[in-house]
Amino acid sequence: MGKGSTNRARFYPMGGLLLLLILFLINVSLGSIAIPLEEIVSGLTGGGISKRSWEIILFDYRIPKALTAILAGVALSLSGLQMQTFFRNPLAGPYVLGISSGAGLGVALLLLGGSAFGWNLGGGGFIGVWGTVLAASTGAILVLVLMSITAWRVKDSMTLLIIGLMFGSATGAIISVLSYFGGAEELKLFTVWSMGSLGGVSQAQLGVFLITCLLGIVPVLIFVKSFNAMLLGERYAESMGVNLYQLRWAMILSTGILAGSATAFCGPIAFIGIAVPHLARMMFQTGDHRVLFPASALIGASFLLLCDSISQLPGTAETLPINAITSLFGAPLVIWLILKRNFSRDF
Amino acid sequence: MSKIAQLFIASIYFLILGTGLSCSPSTPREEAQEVQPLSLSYAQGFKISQGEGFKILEVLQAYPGEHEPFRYLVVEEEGKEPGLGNFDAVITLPVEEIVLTSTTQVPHLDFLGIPDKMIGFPNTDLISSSVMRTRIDAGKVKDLGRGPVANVEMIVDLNPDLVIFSTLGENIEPYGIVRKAGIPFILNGEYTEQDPLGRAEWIKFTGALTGKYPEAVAVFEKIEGEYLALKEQVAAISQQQQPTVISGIMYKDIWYAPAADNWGALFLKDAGVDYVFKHHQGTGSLQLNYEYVLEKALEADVWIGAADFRNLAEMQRADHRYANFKAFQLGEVYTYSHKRGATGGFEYFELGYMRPDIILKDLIKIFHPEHLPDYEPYFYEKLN
Repeated sequence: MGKGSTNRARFYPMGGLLLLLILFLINVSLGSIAIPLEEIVSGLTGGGISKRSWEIILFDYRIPKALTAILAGVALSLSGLQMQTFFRNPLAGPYVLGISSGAGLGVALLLLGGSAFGWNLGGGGFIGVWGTVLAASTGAILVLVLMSITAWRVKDSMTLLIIGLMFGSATGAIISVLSYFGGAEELKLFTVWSMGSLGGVSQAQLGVFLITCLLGIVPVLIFVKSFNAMLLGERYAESMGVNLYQLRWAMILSTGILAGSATAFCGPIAFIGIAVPHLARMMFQTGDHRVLFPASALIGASFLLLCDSISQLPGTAETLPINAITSLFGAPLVIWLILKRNFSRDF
Repeated sequence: MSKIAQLFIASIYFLILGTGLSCSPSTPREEAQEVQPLSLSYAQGFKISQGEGFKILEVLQAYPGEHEPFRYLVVEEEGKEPGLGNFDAVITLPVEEIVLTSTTQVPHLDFLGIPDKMIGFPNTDLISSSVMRTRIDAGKVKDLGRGPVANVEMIVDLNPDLVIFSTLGENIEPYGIVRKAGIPFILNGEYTEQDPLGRAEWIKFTGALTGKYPEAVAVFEKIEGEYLALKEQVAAISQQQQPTVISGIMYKDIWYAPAADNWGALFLKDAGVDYVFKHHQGTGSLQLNYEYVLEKALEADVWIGAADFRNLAEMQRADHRYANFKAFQLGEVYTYSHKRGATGGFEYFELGYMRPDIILKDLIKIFHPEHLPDYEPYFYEKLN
């Protein structure tokens, strides 16, 4: 770690938080309906808003959506960074390693299984609110456990990646079969879920999302130094006194909770988990996880807020799916990173 | 019978009937025949013309998007085939056995008095018509599979006189084998028709195919008369007195509602109401942002088409933001999804296409109850 990077590391938290605040304000100021900035500021500072519909839009829609974007951005970036370091693979992330597919399979079984197998899983209202969340978390954690068992046996990261991709294909195939037999209404629900959305999270869900994020961050805080040791290889880490067994399960628990809950509440959101840690490494030129974890969290939250502002297509009645925007920005970013530098230098 | 034996028989059918078809139009008359177009009042997706002893049907819109018209010949008297070029299918009356693929055409057979002619349908659970259900329960209608497409081999094996097929525009090549087996394979595009009466007028199409054209005209004229009389009743209501109406439902933060020229929205115009999305032209479904909808429809008086929620509490549990709307607070929320057949099919999407008069009557009862004091809505139900 050079001197320059320590200086950057010292100043970034303030700058990062300021940037996040600015993006938050921009995000809640933009939308289909033009609300004057002074009304927004007045609303945020407790001064009240002159029009009832604006008040509902701001407090019932835009603010929960912006907070969801921040939480999802943090959760996905942190799980991406942990997986990249742990698997020592620059392409690891919730999307690539099949965790999103696992969550998708859980939701597909819940929503489409009804028509395919003739299940009846309780009332529509319950399924709508908490059912998908539970199904997605269960699916995500199951896949992660499977992947970890594989990772235990397979030391080669490329093999693991291929297994992850194959797992994604297999779940994709099961989802296709379920969709084929699914009813029109359930199919629509599933399609909408799979496109990702930040605007469907209610206040109660937001509370749960916040708690799961905090729970998922705890293992990160405890093991932050062990992740640094992992960069030099498992053997080296062990010689430094890192308990690999503990670290592995901490990583599984943390990424499962973080990526699982983000996918559960917002649907699969592409590229944040894989691209943001690289952005953080590039911006701060460091491999120190004491810098990278908070930096990834801040960049992830800011990036998703920005993507959401764009997806709202301010001034029009239509909205683009959030996944389309994150992929449009994320995919070229990853390609550019690959071309710009040799990934292996990071690891 | 084993699968292999079925396949074998199907291939025999294929051979015999395939050659049969290619031989039958081999005696075209030399002179071109006189044909008279039969007038249609509303439908734009098909045309019928009458010749001596035959009818020619043209389907101009079988699915969304550009395509060449499909031309079908209905031979009413044997030996009267005209020499008017190629047809996509030739039907020779009488037609005794029919396979349908859309529930919306099941009422056609009911109204034409020939429900006993239907012998096959994909996923028969979707059918609600009580007459047809009795036949299904008696095993007289073969289920052609639960997938989104009917099983080709089963159709060929049934060997009906007529297959009326509905497609969203997906590849229909696999059904070429039905045509090769000599089974007339007809595309019906009624759902692309947006005008409520135009969509109902497709009963004339089914009537022409089954030799029941005069009956079809009579049925249609009765429904048309009812519809126009109802429309007339509310035509005088001025725009200021019209209630404002919101329609549709939200998934996550996107609101889905019928566009202004969509079948479902055109009813609203005729029912004398002010639809909040009337300026959003298009025949499909709108995808609108929640805040846009909220700004437009916060004060709307009535909300119709609220999916299959069972009550307001369930709706609010699914998304508390529904409760912000005035129509929700007043309890003026209606749905058409509750009317289900014995096996769960939506009656609105089965009988509704054929009976726009009932839908309009329901809507007038909701919006202007003073005009229909003693009427009970058939499809629509208020959520409590």
